Amino acid sequence: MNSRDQILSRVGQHRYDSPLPDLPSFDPPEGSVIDAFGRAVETTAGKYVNCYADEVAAHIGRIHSRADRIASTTGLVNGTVDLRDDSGSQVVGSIELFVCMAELGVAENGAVWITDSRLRSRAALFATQHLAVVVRRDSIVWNMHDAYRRITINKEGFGVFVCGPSKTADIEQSLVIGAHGPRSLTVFAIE
Amino acid sequence: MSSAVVESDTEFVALPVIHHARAAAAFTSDAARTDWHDESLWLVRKKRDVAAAAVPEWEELRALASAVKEHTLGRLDEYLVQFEKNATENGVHVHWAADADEHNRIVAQILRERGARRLVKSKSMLTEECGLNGHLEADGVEVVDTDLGERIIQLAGDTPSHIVMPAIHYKKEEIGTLFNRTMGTQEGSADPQYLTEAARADLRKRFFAADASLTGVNFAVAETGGFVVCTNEGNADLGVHLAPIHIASMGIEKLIPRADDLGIFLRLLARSATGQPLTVYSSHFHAPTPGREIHLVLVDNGRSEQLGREAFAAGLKCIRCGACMNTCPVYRRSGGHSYGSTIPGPIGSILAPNRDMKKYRELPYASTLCGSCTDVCPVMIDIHEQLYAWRQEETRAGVQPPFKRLSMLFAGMFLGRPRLYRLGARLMRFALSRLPRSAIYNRWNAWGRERELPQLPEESFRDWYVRTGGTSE
Amino acid sequence: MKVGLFIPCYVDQFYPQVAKATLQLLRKFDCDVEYPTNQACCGQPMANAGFQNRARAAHRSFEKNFDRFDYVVSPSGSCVLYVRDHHPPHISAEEPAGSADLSERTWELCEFLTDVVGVESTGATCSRRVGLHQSCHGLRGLRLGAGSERQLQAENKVRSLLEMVDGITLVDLDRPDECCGFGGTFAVTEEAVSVRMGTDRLADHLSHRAEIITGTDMSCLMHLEGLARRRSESVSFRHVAEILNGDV
Repeated sequence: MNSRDQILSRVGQHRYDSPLPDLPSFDPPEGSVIDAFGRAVETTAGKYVNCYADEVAAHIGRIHSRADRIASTTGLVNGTVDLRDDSGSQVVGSIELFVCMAELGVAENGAVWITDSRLRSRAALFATQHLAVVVRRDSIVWNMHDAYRRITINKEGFGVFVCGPSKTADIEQSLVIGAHGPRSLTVFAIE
Repeated sequence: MSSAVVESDTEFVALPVIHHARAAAAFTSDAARTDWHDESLWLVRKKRDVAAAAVPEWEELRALASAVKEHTLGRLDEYLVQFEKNATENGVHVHWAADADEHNRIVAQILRERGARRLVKSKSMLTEECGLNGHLEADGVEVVDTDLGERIIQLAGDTPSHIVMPAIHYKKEEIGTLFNRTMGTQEGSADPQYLTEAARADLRKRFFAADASLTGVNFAVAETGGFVVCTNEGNADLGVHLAPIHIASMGIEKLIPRADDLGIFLRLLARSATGQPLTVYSSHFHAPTPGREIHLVLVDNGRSEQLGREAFAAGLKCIRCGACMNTCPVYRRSGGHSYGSTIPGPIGSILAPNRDMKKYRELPYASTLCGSCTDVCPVMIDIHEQLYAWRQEETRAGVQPPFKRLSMLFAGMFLGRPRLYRLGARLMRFALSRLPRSAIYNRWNAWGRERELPQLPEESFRDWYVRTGGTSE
Repeated sequence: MKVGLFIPCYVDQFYPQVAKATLQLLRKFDCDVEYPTNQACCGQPMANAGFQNRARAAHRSFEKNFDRFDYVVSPSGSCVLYVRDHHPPHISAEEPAGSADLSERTWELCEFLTDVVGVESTGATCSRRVGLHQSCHGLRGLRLGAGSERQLQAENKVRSLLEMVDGITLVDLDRPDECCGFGGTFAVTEEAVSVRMGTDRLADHLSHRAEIITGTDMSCLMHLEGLARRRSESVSFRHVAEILNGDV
């Protein structure tokens, strides 16, 4: 017997019945879910900007005025780096600011859900020095249960909830922003 | 850093026994450091409390998470087959490893066949359990741990002392010295920001030069064949998306049935672990980008056997948040290394004996059974009850040391038989009232080293009750 | 209602005043209390050390002594929890006590006063600063309160009773329900950690200027008292029963 069959047969000897619970649904608290999302983004050390779609580029110009190498996969912002599906690590590693759309935002924690189709390069999302994500206000849900009800995790090969800039507290529990990934995150909620 | 005191035991077969109490005594002998360690972890426990309190349905979520895991473990064979089928259809290569050795051989072979010499790893307690690094290094592979805590551990030639914060036992000055020696950082600099920046720069080169990456798995979803990796630093994703080969190692107990179950678990995991509402990255992997590969290794290594132990199977529900360590008053004051097992603390103490009951026989006793671990556990594992159950199991299996067996035989006789109890009590009262202090507070009296014995009253309650009928003052 | 008083062995020997206070307190609330004089131990010391098989004689003795009562009450959360969780199931054949399993008829003093007697006032006074040590087996085992881990709004039965004592000041603690480190044989087998846990607890109470440290289990208090006396701390240690009985 190979290991697969061995494991399955051993596990199969210990079957028992225990019901699978129904998936829960919990109401949001009083108040605006959009505002809660904004507050949550700031709690995770992200920047939050609530604006119109055509204002995003100007905001980015101001916040990241010193960024020369900008890769953008959204029409809202023009990039300076030509990022393709097959961009090599040289290109990816040189990105200072990466801008992309998120499919959805989660108010309880300030996370945004980003998938392959908004990325062009998976690595860019993590290799960039700074990250800006744009999410439509009408795609902000209250909690993670609502989020999973809305998205299909296997629609694309890769999807990620991003909740704040990269961080670590591995040295004496001191919070350091910008561990290996982006040193900052700006989330734009647009009309 | 001190590791657990290990010494051979001649009572049965000469197997090493982990002596938690001795290692703990060594740890606490540095009082200031013990304070510091205790406070560091208590701070994390408090963050967890705040995060949990912010979720009104917290206790309901715990019950749901527990029920989902309970259900999944009951038909794990089904879900494993479903997961394998879906993952394979997604283009993921699925491998099966019966034990640690097979896991290591599979990983080594994947790397060898593709000529991969440089592996970047994100945190995976499973690969620690399997001893993967040593195996690969013997194969000529350069292994780089990329989680900052794990990197510190690797550079120091140490082992993790916590499953979420592997280097929690290091002071920043020690890390400064270590980085100065290994990465040439400024001498005497111990600023966490500066040290993290140095590690970032050093590791970035390695990420871009890697031939392959390896990650652990937090959850695998049977109905989609995908898996989720949760990190804060971004190291797992940097490794995975830059290198052409992604190997993911997971224990077979990591499965959950439905995609939407993730909502329950992700809401609990980071809040329990660090008090964050969610880890920075919760990456969902289903298929590789064209031209790249994902390999997933399903590891048993004793898990299927544990599943068959009714009293201990629930330990397999663990989602590795570390909350039981942060809350454990013993762990906080004895350090993770005192447990001598890959996973320390309360959860480690109920997992390790599954592997080797004799070697880890002291671990179920490294607890006062205070039950705090059980109440913080996001999947409601009955940790302290299992600690109690392991103690009984050890007696049944005959792995208790002879002195303990003998003393408990006498204790059972004297405390269980009223006449003997009264006789024994009288002898004790006589001895305590007549013996000189030096005879009572001798070197075998572990109670009396730092504590006074209670003062002896003139008569016992029973004597008073019999004398007065329980009525006089 | 007939109440059997179960007094843990170490309380019998070292803390008779706690047993007396319990007896008097129960009588004050019109309970018909009897102390069966042929009792010994509940069996917990052996069982917690891993030798439940050596606790059988204790189980039998407990049953023999207490089966005839409607309720068994004890000033120890730890012993009661052990009886509840680990005594073998036993339904008495005798009436009227025989309706429920003996272990279900066994109560810790504070929960008995709250849930069965329904105490609303104690008539006791105490003008001291009191630190409440929440013994783990009472708190997390018997659920005498919610505990800081769980996100529940539950009444703390011990605290509520103490608040019925006139003039009492209950001090706040930095860590309201951390274990003291007694843990039965743990106190000696893990002596170093046990002592550290105890001194940390003690320091918390002292830094909040507690004059008396109280609790539902003398075992925890015995450990803390032993540490305090060795360090010549002037704080005193009294069981909750003594405060509720107005002995303090």
